[in-house]
Amino acid sequence: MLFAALIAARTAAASSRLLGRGSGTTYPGVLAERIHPGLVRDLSRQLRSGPVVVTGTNGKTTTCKMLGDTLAAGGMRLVRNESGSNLRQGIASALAASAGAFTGRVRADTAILEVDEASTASVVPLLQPRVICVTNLSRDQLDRYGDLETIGSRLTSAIRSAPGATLLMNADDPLVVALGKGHDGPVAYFGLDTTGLTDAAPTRRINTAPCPDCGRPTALSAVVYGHLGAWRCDSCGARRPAADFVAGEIRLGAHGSDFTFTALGQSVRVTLPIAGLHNVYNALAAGSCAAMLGLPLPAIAASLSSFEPAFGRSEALVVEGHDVELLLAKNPAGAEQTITSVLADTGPKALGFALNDNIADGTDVSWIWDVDFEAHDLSSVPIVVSGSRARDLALRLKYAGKRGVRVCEDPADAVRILAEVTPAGGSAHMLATYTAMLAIRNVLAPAQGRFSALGKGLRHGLQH
Amino acid sequence: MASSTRRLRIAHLYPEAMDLYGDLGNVIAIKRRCEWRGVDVDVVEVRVGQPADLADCDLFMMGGGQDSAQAHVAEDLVRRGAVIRSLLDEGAAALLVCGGFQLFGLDYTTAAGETMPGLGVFDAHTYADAKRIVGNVMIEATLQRWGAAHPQAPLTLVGFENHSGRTVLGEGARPFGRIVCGAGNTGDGTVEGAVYRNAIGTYLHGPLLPKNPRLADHLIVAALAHRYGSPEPLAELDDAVEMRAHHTAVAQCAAASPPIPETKSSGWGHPLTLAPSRR
Repeated sequence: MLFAALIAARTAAASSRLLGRGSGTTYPGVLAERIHPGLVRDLSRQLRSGPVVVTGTNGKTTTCKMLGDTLAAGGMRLVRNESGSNLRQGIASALAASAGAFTGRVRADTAILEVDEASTASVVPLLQPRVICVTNLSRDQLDRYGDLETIGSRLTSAIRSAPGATLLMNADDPLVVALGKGHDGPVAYFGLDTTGLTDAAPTRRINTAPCPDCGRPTALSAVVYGHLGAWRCDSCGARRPAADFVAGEIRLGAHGSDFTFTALGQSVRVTLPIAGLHNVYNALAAGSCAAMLGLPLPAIAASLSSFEPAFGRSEALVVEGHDVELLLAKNPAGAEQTITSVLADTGPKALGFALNDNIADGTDVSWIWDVDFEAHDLSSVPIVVSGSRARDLALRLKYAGKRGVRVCEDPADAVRILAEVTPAGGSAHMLATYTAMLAIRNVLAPAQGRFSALGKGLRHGLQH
Repeated sequence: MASSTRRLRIAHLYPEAMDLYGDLGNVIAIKRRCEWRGVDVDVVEVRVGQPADLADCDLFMMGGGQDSAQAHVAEDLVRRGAVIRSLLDEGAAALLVCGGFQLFGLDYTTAAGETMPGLGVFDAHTYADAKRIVGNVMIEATLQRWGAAHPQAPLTLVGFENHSGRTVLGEGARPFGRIVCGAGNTGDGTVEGAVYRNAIGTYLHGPLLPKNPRLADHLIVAALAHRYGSPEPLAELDDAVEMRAHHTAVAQCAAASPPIPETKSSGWGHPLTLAPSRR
């Protein structure tokens, strides 16, 4: 049956590519699993180094891209699922595509799989991963999942189903640490040493998370952002676990960060070419996982230092002669990190925000009130707001004390206006939710001869 | 009374544990709208287990949180119950959203069957249900003079609900509003929230006040009346940006579900009346 399932998956993938219906990442998996329900289990079992699952609310795609690139550079053969194919069917498709149809042999050493938090409970028992990495549990698409506790309980049952896995957990996030409680296998932690980061660090709007041991609210003696940081519980004395993998001596810049990566008694300096403290976390998670899989630290540092971001996380368009940087922003933690890194470069600039409320964006737009716009001086920055909820953004910015905000509901038109209002010699940055970003690309990118790649991304993105 | 001398004291209850859905925006809205009118605002942030002087507060504000946070918050809140209840009895104002609304009711029963007592300001019991209610909401609020025979013109309010709690109002409770679109307290699409004197309990996030400036001003007038003894009209503000966001949300609700034929008047331009202060 495995043979028939793989042939079917192969045929389905080829025909959906031929018909131009997406990149063939959902249907082949559905079909193959219907023919051979044990497909995911049977194929993942063959991976010599076992599968690696990366989950959590933020940073999965970037972490997987960093980890995959690093392992590939180190000579490992990989199965990878594309971002947006992180539900069960997408994972089945990726595994099926990696196996020889006639031999049924998987031609890879490991699989780096981004798994949607909500899908972990169904996927992890089949995969029996070697490593499960949990990046963080931040507030993301609240309306889609209810709240963090629902996600937490799904992840807990996923972890229970894989007692042999090594957990790689974010020590700075009490909600993540709670997931590892009671795990039979090894638990390793990564975390930031934020000493010296006080002035450069972003705004500190705190959301406390419950203590993993007693459930009472934790306190933070050093805040990274949101509820992440050096937490402690004043009720029961629990505190942030000592991290096995540390990013310290962090310096944040407008176009990248550098930090010292310490693991297994060794240290190495990493120069990360993408900005933001959240990306330091992503690089640390990826580097830690690569080190656990046996890659030497200098190779990890070299790979991270030449990292190219995943498609759609950040890219440049040329509009009316101006470079416009397009940035994905879909929740308060990410948006705040992005704004902070954009403003780290003090040159003249214009800022745009595009907020849609389709299902892929999240229909609850209240999160914009949790972005600490008040903390940033935007007085000399022209601002354009856009998207189906442009009026909500205009209102948010009014209450943050910003004046002269321009409103243009169509995101692509808004980018053109943004280019027009950008000061001479300045930079333009558009932060957009998922579907707003796709709308912008769809209109503005074809003119730049990028239609095929972008069109693919568009269709692909809508397969959720 | 010279406007520059007026001031308000707000108690922001559990800002870190109970702000899951942007409810901080309500506090921002009150602060700004006071500031624009020269009313000084001072905010007391109340945290679990930490001392806070509530005796001089005119307005209580609380948002929604997660179940686990709610248990510890409930304990702490009940300990402060006497002072909060007596201030609300005197006419102090409150906006209690979602978890805040639930904990100001009689009790809250979690999905695990555990019942935690609330403040008992609203005659209402809440229990957790497996199914979450999520979506845009439009209501007609029925704020009225406490004990008056004739309700005032209804006020259209827009927000976003996201709750697994079902709140059943008792005989003695008055709902905050009638659902035009959305699910409401129990999910049956009839009533939303509860009102006790100048305290409002509701499931409406959004956040609620920025897009419903009339309600924000209602709370400010009530809070000022609590401090200074009689309600006085506020200086008008230019609410064009607020009302555009409001109308966008109204249009979305209308598109999502055709509204029930409306009773006359939107209520805009009608001053809301207040529960009289007993001070």
